[in-house]
Amino acid sequence: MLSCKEITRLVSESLDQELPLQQRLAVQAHFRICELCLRYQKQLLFIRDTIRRYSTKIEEAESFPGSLRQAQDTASLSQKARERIKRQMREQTQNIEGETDPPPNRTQTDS
Amino acid sequence: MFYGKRPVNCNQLPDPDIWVDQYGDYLLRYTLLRLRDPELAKDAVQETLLAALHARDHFAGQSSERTWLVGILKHKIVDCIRKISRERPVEDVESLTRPVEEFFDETDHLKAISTDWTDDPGKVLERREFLEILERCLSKLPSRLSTAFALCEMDGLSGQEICKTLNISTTNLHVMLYRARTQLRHCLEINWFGSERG
Repeated sequence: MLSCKEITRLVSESLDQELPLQQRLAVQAHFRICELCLRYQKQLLFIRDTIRRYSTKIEEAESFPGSLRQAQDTASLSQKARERIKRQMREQTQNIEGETDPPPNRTQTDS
Repeated sequence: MFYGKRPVNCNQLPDPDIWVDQYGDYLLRYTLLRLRDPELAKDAVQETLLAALHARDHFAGQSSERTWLVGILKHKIVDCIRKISRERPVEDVESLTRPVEEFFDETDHLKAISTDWTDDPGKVLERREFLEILERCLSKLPSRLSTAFALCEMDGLSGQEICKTLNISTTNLHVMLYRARTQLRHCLEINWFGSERG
């Protein structure tokens, strides 16, 4: 008889590849006597579904949904980082196009 | 090259400065979900914008600018992950999370901290409180597990591709995904289903 620990491992694995028949049967048999493991499977499937939708939501949204509140400082590019990237991009543009003129001045609003 | 094959004859090429302001944060957050180190994430964004600059003649407008940038970013992220996975291979998979033992009792049965999750995934994502909790739970995953999980569940990479990228065996990958899922399950149970509900 397999323990819940072993069964939950198989349940997780089954999300990524088909289990061999024997293991599949063992899992099914365990589900008949263990509500918690059956629920575990349902919950993993919920997580998969939710994460996929979350991922789609991110790709379609105007801006990032949710707040990533914990990582707020690291979740935006600092002004310094932005300036550095822009500078690098200008240098590369000059290298690509062989320009020696500096880019036109722009009035920049503080963000 | 995958950036798009037709060169564009445009009066107006995309403005690189605007890319940084308009898309920088988005690209960074996108990266952080897959690559948690903020410095590495910033580097990936920078490399993406530089590469995009190089290839901007090939952006034929067949997708949005952001989608196009994300396409480049995905490759940069994978490159970065590959590199650090080679430099710092996973020594001991078991040490990556707190042991799953805490979710099981002495007889290896699941502890009964488990409600019936009846929420509709589509609807629950509309709730900001849930999104915050989901993101917080994701951010609590140790970074390598988080990466494996994201490549699998968000980017849909195959097991083989993930193993190659992370420089790990299939067995290790299964252990990592199992731990990530089990920890996430527990976190959502405690913070959402077990508390908000009922």
